[in-house]
Amino acid sequence: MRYLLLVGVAAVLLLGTAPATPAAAGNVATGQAEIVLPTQSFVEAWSAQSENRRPFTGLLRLAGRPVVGAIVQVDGVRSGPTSPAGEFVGAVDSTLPQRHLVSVADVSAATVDGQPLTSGQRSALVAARGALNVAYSISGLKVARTPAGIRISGTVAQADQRPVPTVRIFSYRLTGRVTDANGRPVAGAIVSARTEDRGYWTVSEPTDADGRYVSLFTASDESSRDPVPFAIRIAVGDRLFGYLPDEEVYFKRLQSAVLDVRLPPPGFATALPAPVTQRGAVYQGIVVAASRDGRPVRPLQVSWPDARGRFAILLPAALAGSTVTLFEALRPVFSHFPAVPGGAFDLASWPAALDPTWPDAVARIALPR
Amino acid sequence: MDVGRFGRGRLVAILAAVAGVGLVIALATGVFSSKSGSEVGAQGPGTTTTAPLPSSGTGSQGAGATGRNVPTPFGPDDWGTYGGSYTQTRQSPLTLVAKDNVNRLGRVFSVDFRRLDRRVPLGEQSFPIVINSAIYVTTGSNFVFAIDGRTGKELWEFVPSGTAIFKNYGVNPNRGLAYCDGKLFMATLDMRLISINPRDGKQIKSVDISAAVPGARPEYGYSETQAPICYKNLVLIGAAGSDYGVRGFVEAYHTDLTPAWSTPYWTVPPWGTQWRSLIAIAGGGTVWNPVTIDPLTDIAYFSVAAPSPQYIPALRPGPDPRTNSLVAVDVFTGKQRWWQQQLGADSWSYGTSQPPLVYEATVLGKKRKIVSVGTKEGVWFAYDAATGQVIHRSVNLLNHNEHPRLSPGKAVVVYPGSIGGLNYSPSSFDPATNFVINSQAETASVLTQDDPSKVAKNAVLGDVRLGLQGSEFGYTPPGWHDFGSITALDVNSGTIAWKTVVPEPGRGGVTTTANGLSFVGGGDGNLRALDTKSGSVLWQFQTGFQIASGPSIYRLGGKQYIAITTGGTPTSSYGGTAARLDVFALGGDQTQSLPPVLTAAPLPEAGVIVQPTEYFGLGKDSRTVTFQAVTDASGKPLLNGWSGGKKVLLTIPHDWTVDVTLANHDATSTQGLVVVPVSGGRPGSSGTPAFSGAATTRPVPPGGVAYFSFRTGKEGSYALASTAPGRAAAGQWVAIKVVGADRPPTITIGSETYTVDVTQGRPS
Repeated sequence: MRYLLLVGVAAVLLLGTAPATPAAAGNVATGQAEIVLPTQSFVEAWSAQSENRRPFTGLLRLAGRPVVGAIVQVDGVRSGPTSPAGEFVGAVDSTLPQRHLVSVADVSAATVDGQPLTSGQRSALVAARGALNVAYSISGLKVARTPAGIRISGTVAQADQRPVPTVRIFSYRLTGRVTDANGRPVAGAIVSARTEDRGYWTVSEPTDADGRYVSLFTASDESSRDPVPFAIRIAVGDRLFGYLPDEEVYFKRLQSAVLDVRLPPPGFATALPAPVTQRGAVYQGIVVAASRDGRPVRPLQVSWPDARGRFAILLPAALAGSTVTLFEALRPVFSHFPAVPGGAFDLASWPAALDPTWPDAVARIALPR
Repeated sequence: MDVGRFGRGRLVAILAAVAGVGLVIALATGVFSSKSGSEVGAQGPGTTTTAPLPSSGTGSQGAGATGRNVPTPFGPDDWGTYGGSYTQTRQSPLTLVAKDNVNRLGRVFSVDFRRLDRRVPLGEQSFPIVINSAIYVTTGSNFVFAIDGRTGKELWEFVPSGTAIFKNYGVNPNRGLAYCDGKLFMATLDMRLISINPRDGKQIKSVDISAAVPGARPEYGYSETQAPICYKNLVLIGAAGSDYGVRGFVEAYHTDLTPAWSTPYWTVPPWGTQWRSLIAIAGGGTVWNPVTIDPLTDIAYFSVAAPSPQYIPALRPGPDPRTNSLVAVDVFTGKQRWWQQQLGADSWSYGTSQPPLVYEATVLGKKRKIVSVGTKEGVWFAYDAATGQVIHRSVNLLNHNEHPRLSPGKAVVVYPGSIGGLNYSPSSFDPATNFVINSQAETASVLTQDDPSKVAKNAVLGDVRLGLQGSEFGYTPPGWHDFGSITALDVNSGTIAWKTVVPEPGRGGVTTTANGLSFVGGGDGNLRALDTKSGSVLWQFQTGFQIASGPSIYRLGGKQYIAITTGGTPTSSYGGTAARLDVFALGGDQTQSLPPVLTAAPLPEAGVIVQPTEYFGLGKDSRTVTFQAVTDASGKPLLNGWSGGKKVLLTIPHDWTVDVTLANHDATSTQGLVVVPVSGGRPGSSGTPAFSGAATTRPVPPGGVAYFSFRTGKEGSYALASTAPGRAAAGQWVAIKVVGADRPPTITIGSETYTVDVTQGRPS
């Protein structure tokens, strides 16, 4: 289904205004560059009968005139040149909530009204940004002041009104820091772990500049042993550090852990580390929460949607009278306590910023005074 | 299973035991920075020759040209892509080698990649491509070599960055490269897509596949072992990782490694939804073998592997659509045309794995464009290429094909076994006979399904639980030996025209020639040439190593060559024994090698003492041992759980170096160690080291680590003792005896003495 341009659509973003310049002979006057996109669409159930994409048509305009021959990119994928009407086509995944980022990739061959662009016009176009939401639908919104704060509740669902997938455990987490023999952080190291009864390893992301890593962690084996023995290895470039055979590291069963590793000087055994148990696990589910001025609003409480998609957010009373928007975040989140449908979201993992790929402005709510 | 990263668990455990010596495990005696990961694409020593620039077969291309009119970048004398052609029919048009002279084939050269670079791991499943006189071939851990197709001389070597992590991978093959737009393309185990300059082996660009395919990262269980396919300047890849329950996909890239499709083509639903919602590790449906393309229609076809957990369909209820399937999409957009499932609700891991073939054949008396594929179930399917209409279904290729449903706790013998009938082994179509020639594995396994609730209990991402009791992939029934067979399937009738049985499972595939020869490598080390029409073996040559790849055929200077990698895979015929390339031509040396030993080889345990001892091993340098002391977390006066020097004795030769690591796990006490003489069966109390440097130099706080090194001196009895007040007296010490220099280092625990085997050389 193609979504056509509608004037005044909420997803239109006007950015990249170039400074006004006297029109060069034969050139269109420099003005506002805009990427015009359809309204947000709703997440659909995955189907084996298609590639599960939603095609759309967008417009690229400069001072209200179609830009022809420009290359637009959606999530980093380049479209074909814009048409004489300034149209470009794209497609996005229709089965996952995501904010799809649209920008102008190449204007070297672009024209407006048959004229090549000035450098100011090119700059304006390249600076233009747009975004297309594919989000779960939100209905039944209610807002009320309570003694505890301002409560927002509603129901989140797929396009066919079926409930969203509920929160579930994703994995446990192994995290820590890798340092060298002198205590300096080691970047680019990969920590891998394996139980005795399994031939498969989990591997971490490469350590960052501070030597820190994060890894999925199974935290159990097929026995009922507690603590659970793991083999641990650390890969740094072409060098692999391990521990003497059968020299295992023991972890508390079904809990996350912090494992700091000190790599040895050449020739020495790698010092057996002592993990620190970290209560909690990583969960994944959709969270509906409030943002304001482009930043997430830290709630007093927020719940995971329950089996029927019902959610609730409790905001501080200080926000009374303001307007907030709702965003949706689907991502793995660490929770110190079990995350269950309808249960509380661990605010220790509250994001400091909105991820640009989270659908935002899914709904707008004026909070009561 | 897609054995891209993980083969049998036992092998990985053994490899882990060999590799995990508790030392820095350098891949080349400590100094390999000339080819280190930080120098991506660096040249190896002496490899400064540039390869001839591959010329296009039918015309030149502009850099970055893409679209429907891009000509093929290789010619009829080349073997320019994994399957010889985009249709994956693996037929060479070259006919200099014929039925009446094939017995004159001999080996013209051999390349031992491990001799060129000792870091190359054992095992070979790479399918070489040959373009304008250069052979481009990969090895495990993503090394790439350019070899002169006439002489076998190394032209250049590409060394991947960060190979250490690959040592974790029990089976880490790479099956080859793609070439187009003047570049070579390879997908790496750690989920990158890279482009390489074919002239000199320098890396051009590297991208994380996850940038275009969200979540497609090694941390989530993905890996790459396949050869990409580059068609009209689109590079197409899937990935491996079904065992981890990853989400299968195919993605296309421009040759500048930017994504070409608006989204990846995902084969299965998102995580945690639909049939993936019962447990966290349900998933799979990977596309771990190369994509097939019909150049006349620009339709791409690919095989989708089994869902996971492989052996327990109850944990992924229903038919798990698009797994075990053949899918057709528009190659330029990824838009789905049709799909057909070969086996739903699979409980035997009978994925559709081999690349499909697309071709025009006589089918039921009429010429028709069809696409066909064989599966791990050992059965064959053919469909109308345009519509997916079924033409032939479940044509059995195996001698014995019987697999009852599994039920928890009940041991069941299934034919074929977990390796399957047609695993990745690619087939070939011969238009002259209208036959598809398959090289398959005749296997059996005993499978005992595990209790689904036990498999599901506490399963989280990162777990691999395939669903069997006692073993990951089952075991061979007593008295059974896996073997192989080569079949000719008459596409017209959907029946087997002939079958030739061979001693070992067929893993590497078939290449035919236009004049009626079929070349097949076997797990017994033989490269065979069969008469395509009759199946008679016209020639065979013992290469000396198991073969798990397919032949590539090319012509240079008027001579026809057949190239094949040897070394095999540990998952069949006890392969994984070498990493080599053999090239044959008429008039070559007909001296054959001794056949490979088809039994499990004892693994080296250089400098390693295995169960039950710990903490003591051969050092990196000559006449060096390492020892690790770990204090008890509870604060008890123990070292490594030992007390009082009674139970454990380290025997170290005179004038040897001892590298000591102290890990202070004691949460409350500051610690230290010193080597002192023993007096009256106890550590002396002077605290003065018996040898220079034989003590920690500073207090080690709780959680801290210290290292010190000393050289053993006078023969006699000593103690490695704690310096924390009162701890040595309470038993926190280990007995050391310095003995004659002619004796090996040993560790005695109780009544058992274990010797460090110094003759095996450095640990690797």
